[in-house]
Amino acid sequence: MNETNRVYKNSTELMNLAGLPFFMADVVDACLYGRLNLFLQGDTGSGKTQLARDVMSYFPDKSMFVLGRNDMDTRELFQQINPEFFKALKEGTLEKGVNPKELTSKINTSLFVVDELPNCVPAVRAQLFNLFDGFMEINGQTYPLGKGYSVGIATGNIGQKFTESNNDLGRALKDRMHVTIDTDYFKPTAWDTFNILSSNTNPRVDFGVEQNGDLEKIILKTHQAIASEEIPFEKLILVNYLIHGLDYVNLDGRETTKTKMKDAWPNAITNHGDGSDEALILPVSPRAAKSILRLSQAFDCIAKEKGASDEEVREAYFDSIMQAFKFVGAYSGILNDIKVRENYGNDKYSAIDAVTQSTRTQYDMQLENISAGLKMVSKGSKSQNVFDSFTGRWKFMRDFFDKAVEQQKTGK
Amino acid sequence: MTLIIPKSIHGRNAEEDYKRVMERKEPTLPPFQKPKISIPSGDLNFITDENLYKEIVCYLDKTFPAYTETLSGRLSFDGVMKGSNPYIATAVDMFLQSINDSHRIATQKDLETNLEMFKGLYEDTGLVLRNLNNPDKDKAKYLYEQIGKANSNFPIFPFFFDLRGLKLDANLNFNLTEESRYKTANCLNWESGTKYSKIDEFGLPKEKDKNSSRQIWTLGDGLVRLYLNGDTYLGSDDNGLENSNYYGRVVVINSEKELLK
Repeated sequence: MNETNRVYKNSTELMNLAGLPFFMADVVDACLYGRLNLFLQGDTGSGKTQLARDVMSYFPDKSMFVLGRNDMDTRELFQQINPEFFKALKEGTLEKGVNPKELTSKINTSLFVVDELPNCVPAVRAQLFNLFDGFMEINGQTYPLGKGYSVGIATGNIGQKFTESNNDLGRALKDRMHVTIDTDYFKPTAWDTFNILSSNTNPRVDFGVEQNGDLEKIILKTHQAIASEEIPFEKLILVNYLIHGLDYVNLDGRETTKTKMKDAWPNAITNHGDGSDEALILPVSPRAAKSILRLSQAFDCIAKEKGASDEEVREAYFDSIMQAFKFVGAYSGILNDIKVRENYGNDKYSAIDAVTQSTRTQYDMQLENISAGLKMVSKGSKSQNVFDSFTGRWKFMRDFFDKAVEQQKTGK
Repeated sequence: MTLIIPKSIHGRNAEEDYKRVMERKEPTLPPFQKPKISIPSGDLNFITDENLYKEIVCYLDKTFPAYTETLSGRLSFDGVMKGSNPYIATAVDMFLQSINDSHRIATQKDLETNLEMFKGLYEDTGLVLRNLNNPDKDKAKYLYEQIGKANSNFPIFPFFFDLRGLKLDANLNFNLTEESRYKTANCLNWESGTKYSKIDEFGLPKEKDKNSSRQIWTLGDGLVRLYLNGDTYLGSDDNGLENSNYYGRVVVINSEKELLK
């Protein structure tokens, strides 16, 4: 997308796809294309608010900025969202026959930016997450907002603790934010800061970013295309590996899953340790897998915008999925923090990179078997040799191919 | 949208892949012919030839098909073969033997000749058998019984085994061979963190030296690995024989050169 109206500058490479560098702005754009809620984690002054402000300029008159405060209540939030709605709520007319849907449908906001989200009390936070997802909840009923597209960007500086599941905020973020980027990790380069500081010494966030409504159209159009396009089979295999393959555990010859182990993971895995996937990472949830697929599809779109051919993008499906996995998974609570601290210098992204490396090896080794499985499906007859070729953490493919052959035979 | 299953994946020929998978038989050792690999001529070398790496992966998968997770699954190649555990190192030694290569895996004694080379990495060179308890008590018992067969009077714990010369069976038990080298090594009973400087004929600490910076890390029970860690300390405190990470390296040495020394 057009980057000329951006104040936030960062030329640090976050990832590479099809030989093309992706920067912070690209990953943020991918979240918008995919309609994925984005949490920008970072230290004060790292530029996350400016980055979010820049994005607001894509949605002239259709974005809303909320500064998170601990004294903000839901009424104040509703007042900010729609004074008419708030008035009805205040006067009690909502209970006297006013249809809340009529009021919420008038809320035509596509982007909600919440600065310092962790400052908000849980009730406000929950309403904000609902807004990100395009609805409001009133008296247990949900009412959709506006015209369908809505997404949220939240910022916050809360260190590592927010990913912990036993922490209320951690649970909420895991549940409702799809992608998290640590802006401290991907700091602007020296070249960026030389340029930023030479042209502007105002330490405040620039709220006067030039607005460009054309970008909104591009985002909505691309989002619709991504949401309706077919997911490549190769990507489906990879996300299923992240769901089922990463769940596999072999405890001294006894096959089980991390999901079944529950709280016994990772301490019960005594035959594994440093660098082992088994003790390092939990499988992703089906919901996270959806985010990974959506983000990956958006990455592919951006790679094409940057000049990659369809063929080059196809060749890079593995990287596309695993890079999406990195930004969805690293701060989602699936990593074993102790192992990350011990073996990866507390660097979650490096830990995910290590998982990616081993997944690459695993996947390359399985391609022949998967290919044979596809042939088996097209033949419509089961082969024990093919089933037996999927062992260990790839055993989940047996179930897939078993059902796929049945489907081929019966046509259902 | 419905799930659409393609006819092929990643540009592969599904027909040929299907045939290959259907023709797979019970694993056999690879034929005794030298693959097209090259090992640098230095005394101690990492595995930097990708062909060699691929041959090793192929050998591991065919010889130990039930243990791909423990062996080839722990390896990767990025200009150098990354990953190591005692199973991998032993299996690589078996592979080198199987192709009659002049190279073998390096022993701890070998590594001691160039410690600088291994800083920041770790290398598996041996096994330590302290007793028949866990960790890995079954494998400990298996190995101990072999010592019993090979010796009329049982040596006392703890034992140290060079990985070179050991042989893995289909269940990943370690087997002694004619060229296996092992001994009782009291240093393995030292308190964890004991400092030493001089080494013995196995490359193990010979005597305590409180003025030295090198240390040995020890653990109380069972069968554990012995490895050189990234600080060039000697570790025998890791109870996971399968553990491997990207700092692990298998080191090979030209055994013919060694004999000439």
